[in-house]
Amino acid sequence: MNRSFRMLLRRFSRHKMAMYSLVILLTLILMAVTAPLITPYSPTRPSGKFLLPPDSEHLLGTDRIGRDMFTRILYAMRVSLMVGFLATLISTCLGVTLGLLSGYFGGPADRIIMGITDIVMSFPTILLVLVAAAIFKPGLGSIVLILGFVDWPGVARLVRGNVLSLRETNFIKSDITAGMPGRYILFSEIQPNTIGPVLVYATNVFAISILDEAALSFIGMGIQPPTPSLGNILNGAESLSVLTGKPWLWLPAGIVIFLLVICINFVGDALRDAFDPHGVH
Amino acid sequence: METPVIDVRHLSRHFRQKSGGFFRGTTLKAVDDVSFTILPGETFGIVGESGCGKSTVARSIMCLEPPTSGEIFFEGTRIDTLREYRRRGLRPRFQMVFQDSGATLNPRKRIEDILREPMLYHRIGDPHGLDTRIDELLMSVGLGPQARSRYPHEFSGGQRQRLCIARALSINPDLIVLDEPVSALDVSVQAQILNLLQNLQTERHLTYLFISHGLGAVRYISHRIAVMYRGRFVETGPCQTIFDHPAHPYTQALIDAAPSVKERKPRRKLMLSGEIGDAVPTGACPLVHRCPLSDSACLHYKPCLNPVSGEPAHLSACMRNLGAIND
Amino acid sequence: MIKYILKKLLLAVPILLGITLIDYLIMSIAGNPLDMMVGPRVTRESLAIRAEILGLDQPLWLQYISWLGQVISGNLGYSYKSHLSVAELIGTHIGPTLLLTGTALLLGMLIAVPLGIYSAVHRYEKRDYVLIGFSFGASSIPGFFLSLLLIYFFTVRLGLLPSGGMYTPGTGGSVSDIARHLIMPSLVLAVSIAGNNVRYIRSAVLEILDMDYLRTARAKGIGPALVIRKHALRNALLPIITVIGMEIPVLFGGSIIVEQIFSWPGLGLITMNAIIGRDYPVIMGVCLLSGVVVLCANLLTDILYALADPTIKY
Repeated sequence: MNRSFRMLLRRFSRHKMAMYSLVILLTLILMAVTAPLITPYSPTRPSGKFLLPPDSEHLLGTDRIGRDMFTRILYAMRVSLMVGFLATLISTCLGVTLGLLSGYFGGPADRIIMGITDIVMSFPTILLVLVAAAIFKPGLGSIVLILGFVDWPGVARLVRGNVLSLRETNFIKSDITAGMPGRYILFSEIQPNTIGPVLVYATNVFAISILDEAALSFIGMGIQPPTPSLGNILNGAESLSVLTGKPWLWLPAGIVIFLLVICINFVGDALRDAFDPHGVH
Repeated sequence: METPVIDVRHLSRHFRQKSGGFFRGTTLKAVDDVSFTILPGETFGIVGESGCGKSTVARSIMCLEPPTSGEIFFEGTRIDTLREYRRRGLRPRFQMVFQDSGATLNPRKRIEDILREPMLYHRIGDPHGLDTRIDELLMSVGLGPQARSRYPHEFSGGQRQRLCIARALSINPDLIVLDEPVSALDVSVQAQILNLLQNLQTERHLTYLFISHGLGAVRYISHRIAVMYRGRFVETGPCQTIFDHPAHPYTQALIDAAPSVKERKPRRKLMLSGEIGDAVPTGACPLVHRCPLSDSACLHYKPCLNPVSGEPAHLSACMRNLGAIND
Repeated sequence: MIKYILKKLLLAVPILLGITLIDYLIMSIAGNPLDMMVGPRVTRESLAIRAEILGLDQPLWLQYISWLGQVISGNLGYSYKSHLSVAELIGTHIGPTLLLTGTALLLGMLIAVPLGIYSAVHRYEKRDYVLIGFSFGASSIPGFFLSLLLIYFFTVRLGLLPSGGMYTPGTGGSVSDIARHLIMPSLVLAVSIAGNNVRYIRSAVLEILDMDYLRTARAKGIGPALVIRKHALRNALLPIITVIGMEIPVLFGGSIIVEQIFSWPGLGLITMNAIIGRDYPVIMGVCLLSGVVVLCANLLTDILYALADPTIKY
């Protein structure tokens, strides 16, 4: 195994909270992926009497048309994790590409790309997302695209800043004086050195994407029922009778979102420390 | 006459400084009308305080930044106006070694990859024989083959500087520009590196441009030297001549300021006052406010390099002959 | 300094134009607001007349230019739905939003600043880790979920606080009544602000505490409390200013959902209604306003920064 990777691992594992978080996170992801093996019920079809409180057969009870809540939450986690992951993937790829181009080539390309990031960053994210969500047909694909296109400017700026400071280093100058081509300098020398900060930022985007998706679905502009998502399950809690009398219908979904996001944040924080070259060894 | 490896003619590099209003701004002359040539197998040293423009000369020669005016020829080819893609084929023949600042080698790559990639790109040597070539390179800079699979941070400053020299050598250059190559190292290590450089020079018939603020290193390795002050050469000539008979007050002051173990005969030392950044009126000698020998004439005349007392290779940019104060 | 501000203002113009242009493009992809008006009692002819009145029969760029011309003359257009002027609509709803976000910002900073400093001073101690843990928790809890929890406890269980609106209907809205309605929504926003910023302020203060001049101060025998009060706090002002500048756009966005949950009669509520109803002039007006707010916040941050830090020159 690579020496620097081992060092990274050692420094990461010193964070106890992050290690617990990683275990919880991986467990939740595993549960989401293997949902059909864990639960015998369907997330969209009734499987018993409606509005049953939790018991041994229905771990988290049933909803108002008799669907098993535990099953719905497992499948909702699938959807939320997938939306968060894909949105993060899109925004990271976009941001890294544009940031590299902007920082390396400078000039008009840089000015245009940075102008666009200024504009996108001037919108409160949620406003942009809401406007877009209202316009495009709500659904999994459009949510992924919307969230993916909102979060890239931060990544682009981060990468650009990194490229600008790397360009001043002597090893990049040595590459130039050795007559190495631009594609080698950009992709073999600069880009690998930006992976650490980008990965840390991406965990942050992942957490925010999950929160945004939940908020959107909660107000009915995200994932549409009957497909379960952690946000649209909570949607039902706006009715007073659910809120007061049937906590099993909304409390677990909220707790799962909270758990996912806080675990991702702890992992990201430990990653930041592990990647920080000035950190204590 | 032999074609010089490097021929620099009237090189200037000016920076616009933003200060004051919208469009006003002063111009900083980092390099101001500098000319010199370096012959094959020779070591040319440039010495001066930090901020005098010596590194800018190096970067201009390496085509890392374009000169404001002037011409730079490498082995007879003008390189400063070439498009980068046409220059790329020429690049391996002039290499640079930087001051060790912790980022001279890519921290994410093994030494063997750092050395191999430029050789692969420039098709130097048989691709299958590169491994032995890397071992030879490491050996020639005094490192063992076990260095191959390590990462840069596992080496000391002196070892890293050896690796930088190996990287520069890997693509068979004619000229190596050494920008403060030993300034960040301990004195004992400095001597090792300087000896290594000298050995490599005779083995491979290399040409060096050696830049340093340390007089000792420059004196040790250079055949000819130039003393730089505020972007201009104030004195050039053979190394020995300049150290034995400095003609310019600035050179004299630099030599006097350096501590020396063997002081042959005690004499009055020449001391400069003020700072290098102090403003100087246009058209005056750049040293006018700091030089203890300056008078009103120095305020109105900016001297050029002129031959000193009979020796044509020894040039100095001062109105007075300094022979008198040398005794 | 004045030149610097002017330059910043000039730079803001193309950004504002870009904001409106992108808005307009997205919404033109979305479809025609006339589709929303189609119903059994609306004839084709009346639709065509409406389209002409609203200028919707013209090509897109002409619509954009005419809208832009109106904006420059101070007219933000009229709502398709209520036929009220957009400027008026924004004017009547901006007050509650400012009250809500202002309270939240104040509350959030009142929590974050002391906790951040406390955490930094006691770094790597147990209480530091506990505080960091709490701050991660606060920034990880979805605002709407926290709202539901608060409503559940304070309204449903304890019956202490009202769950919606700005004042009790029928009453004129006394200060104490409004304050009671304000507590929960502003708390939700404040928790997320505090959660994000405790860590930020902690690391900013840590950086200052590590500076050489503070070591010197400590070496001179000045006690820790005095060191922090006299030397560190003044320099910690800079990161706090930055934080406030960064939080303003976040608050503006966050208030949309919180206002929706608590039926707070602010900009967020009309924005949501406009988005659902595709009321373009209102959406455009709100987007423009948010752009202006964000740019102003950035400018204000820069100016305050320049005032607080003598080493920055423009």
